[in-house]
Amino acid sequence: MDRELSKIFALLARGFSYPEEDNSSDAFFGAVKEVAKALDIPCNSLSYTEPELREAYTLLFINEPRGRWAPPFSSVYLGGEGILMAKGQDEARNFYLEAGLEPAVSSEPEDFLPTELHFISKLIENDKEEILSRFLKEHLLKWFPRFYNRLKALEPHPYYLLLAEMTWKLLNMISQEVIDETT
Amino acid sequence: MKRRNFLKLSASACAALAALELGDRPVFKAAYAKARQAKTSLPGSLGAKETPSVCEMCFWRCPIVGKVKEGKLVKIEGNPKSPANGPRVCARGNSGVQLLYDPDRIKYPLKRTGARGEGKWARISWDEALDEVAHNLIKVKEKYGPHALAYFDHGASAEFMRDIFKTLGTENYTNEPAFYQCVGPAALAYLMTYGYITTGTRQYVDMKHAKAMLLIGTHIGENVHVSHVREFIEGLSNGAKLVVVDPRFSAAAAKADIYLPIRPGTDTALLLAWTNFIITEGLYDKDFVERNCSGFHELKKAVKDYTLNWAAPICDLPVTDMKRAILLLAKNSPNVSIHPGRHSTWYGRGDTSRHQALAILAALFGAVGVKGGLYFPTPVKKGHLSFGCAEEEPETPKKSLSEDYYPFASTFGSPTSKIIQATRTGKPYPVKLWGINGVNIIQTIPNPYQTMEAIKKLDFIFCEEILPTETAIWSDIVLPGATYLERYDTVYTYDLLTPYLTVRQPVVKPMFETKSSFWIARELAKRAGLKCFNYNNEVEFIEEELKGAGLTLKSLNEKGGIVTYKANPYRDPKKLKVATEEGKIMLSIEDFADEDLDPIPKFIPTPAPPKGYVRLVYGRSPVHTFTRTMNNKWLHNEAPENHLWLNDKVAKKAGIKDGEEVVLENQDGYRSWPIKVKVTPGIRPDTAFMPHGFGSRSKLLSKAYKQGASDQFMITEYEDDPFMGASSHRTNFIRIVKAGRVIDLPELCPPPKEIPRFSAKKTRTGGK
Repeated sequence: MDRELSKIFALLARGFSYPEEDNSSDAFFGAVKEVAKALDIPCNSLSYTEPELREAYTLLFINEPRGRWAPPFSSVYLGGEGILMAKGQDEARNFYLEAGLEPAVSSEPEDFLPTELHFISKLIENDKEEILSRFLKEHLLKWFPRFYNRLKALEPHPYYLLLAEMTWKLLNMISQEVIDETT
Repeated sequence: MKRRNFLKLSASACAALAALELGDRPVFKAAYAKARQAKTSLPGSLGAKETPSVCEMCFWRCPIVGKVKEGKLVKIEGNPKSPANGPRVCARGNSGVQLLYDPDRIKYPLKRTGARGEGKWARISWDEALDEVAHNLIKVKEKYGPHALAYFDHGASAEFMRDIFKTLGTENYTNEPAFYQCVGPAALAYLMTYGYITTGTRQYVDMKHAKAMLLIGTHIGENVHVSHVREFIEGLSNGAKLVVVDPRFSAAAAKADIYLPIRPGTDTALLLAWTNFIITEGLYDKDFVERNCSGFHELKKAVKDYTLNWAAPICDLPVTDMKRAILLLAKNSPNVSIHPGRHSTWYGRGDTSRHQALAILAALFGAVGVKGGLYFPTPVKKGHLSFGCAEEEPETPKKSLSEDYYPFASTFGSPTSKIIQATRTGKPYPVKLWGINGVNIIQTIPNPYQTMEAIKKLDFIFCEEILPTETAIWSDIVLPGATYLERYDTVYTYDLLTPYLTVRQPVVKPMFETKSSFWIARELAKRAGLKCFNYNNEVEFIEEELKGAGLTLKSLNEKGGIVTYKANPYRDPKKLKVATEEGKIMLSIEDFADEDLDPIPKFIPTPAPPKGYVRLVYGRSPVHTFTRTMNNKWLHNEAPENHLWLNDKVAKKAGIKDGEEVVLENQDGYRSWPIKVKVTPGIRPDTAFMPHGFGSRSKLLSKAYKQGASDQFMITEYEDDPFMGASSHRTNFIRIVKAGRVIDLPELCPPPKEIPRFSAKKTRTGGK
């Protein structure tokens, strides 16, 4: 099960990354749909083109003309400053280092949502239960709900709403289990 | 770890996941042991890595030190080795951190997917973005000729891309709002009078050692350039007397010994009356003038009718005050700072002449090349760069947008107003592509409505931008530029009283996919098939420049990132030789006469406000640099919105209270966004003032959007300076709209008969 769960977080991490060939393919959408089904989240056929998703992604997560977007960086939500590379970045980085990891070269700050989701995938893969528990409780669950609420309020593209719902549900499930176990 | 059974995956789900290829990009790698210890660090900026660099929160460019911990910029301070600012930076300098980490930044190359101005984009790759820009540059050039390309630029880093436009052969390779909307008329006046640009990016005026100073419309302290403000304050601390001429009681006026609240648009009348006064009273430096100036007799004759009595009703100033002020300056000559001003695009006609009159006044006092007066730059030697781009001027078209309209325009590129006009009308030739770099043209150039109309007619428009400004949302392709904290630029030299050489270098690595201006220009040149930019990267050409100064980047950094030199600002007045053709200071400029322009300044009145309106003037907020800093959180917290200064007597009669929110309507019927009124006796009754740069219309700037009102959107009427084509900004008038009701403002200072009243082409009410 852990192998699959790790892969599911890696799937969500890619889902929240900018649409490219590998995360806009039928196989990718097929896997998303299967996981949604397992999470009891209704979802119709997922059939989107790469350009459609690119525009939607840009509007939601990069820059949006109505000024209504949901920055996928924890620093924006933590620490009260509303800027990048703030408290959220420090927290995320410290967790990564504690687990003996650091993000490979990337153009985004290290507290980018896909990076954090991928970190969970790695923790599950490497059986780092205690760090996972604290990472969720002390960091991710402190900002993800705010990101999720902000996203929902934007009436986003249904695909990204689906991914966010899946992530939220999964985080709740896993946190209940690991936090209960370790506290 | 316990098995997780909360999720029941079907066999098909497992198969789908198993079959999934999620790319081969590694997201994580093993952390080095050293990195693992990073958590234990000293508080604040203690223990940070320090990198010397150069600020660009404004264009004064103070030397700074960036303090970085774990790859993150935690603090910016002045470079303690800098002789100009030392460890100090201003509020803006401190706040560079907030620019770097602003989540609203342009992060990736973007391609427009909605209508121009709508701001709908999709992220694209650098390859796609650069190819598209290069393709359009070539296509437009082939279809309409090279002059159909135009480039609006500002700042040193924008100069790289300027070379591309120049190499493509357009005469419109530079249209700097920094000249045509700011310093152009003053720069020209001083260049022609003294042979060097006494005021451009910097002002060579020795306030620190002055015994008296004159500021005309210059509000030092609100316009903060650290070393300039320090010299001003040091001068005052040393006992210098101060005369301030300004329709508004500015921060500098509060420190004045004599404050003259002049009627806007009449400064030249005052200057010419003073000139005549010191000549007729024999208060000028006869030896200096005889030895070093040309055209004195012509000047004397030209100004003979400008008396203080004549000027008094025009300037709305008492003769006694005007006389007191000029006597104070004369008494302290030659050690007087006749400040040359900086932003000088006020009224169109007469702007160059006004600054020429200031330059003449300094010369008559012999206040040139002496302590306390205007001084000469000390050039700092560095290596010459040859990028291999076109060095010769492009071939001029049959009808030039520059010199065929304004004889002295070509010194500074093409006037922005003419580019916009040609784009709108296709005359005298079509302009079909704009490149924009380092300037928010919609909030900088008069009549933004015309600018937007022009953009709609373009085949293609692109920009290099840091933030999603109004200019970005009107662009087809947006190239994400690295901030000054993430890139190299060329070597900086400072040639004022404390000369130095320093270099801008990255303090942190670029965020997201942002790139340096040099990288962008070089890649673009390659794709456009241009032989340009011989150097592979910035370090190569920086080393070349430093070699000329006997330095390397390593040796410079070992010296703290800055090397200082001895200044040579003063001259023996008996051996003075300036860089004009005659080698003398030109009190009468024959080159102007050759172009049927006045060789000696004349007073040309600018029209007075129409009944019911007051003149709109503007200035700087001390914590902001135009629209560039409005989205900066710390600065936004300090000054989130602007206020309209309105005279207390006018406000009382019009029934407007302090702090009330109103809308402004200009003479053409355009309405502003809401703005609060500051009711004050510190402004003349015929004038209203607002700090510039507020009232952003880009919703992508989450902090700046709709905060206060934009003065630029009230400036729809402009007139070009006939010498060099700069466009006026203080030729617009406003009245108030309160709760939907239009309020005409009472006229408490009616203009004298010498000043005609502005008559609108079509005065409208109803709001646009």
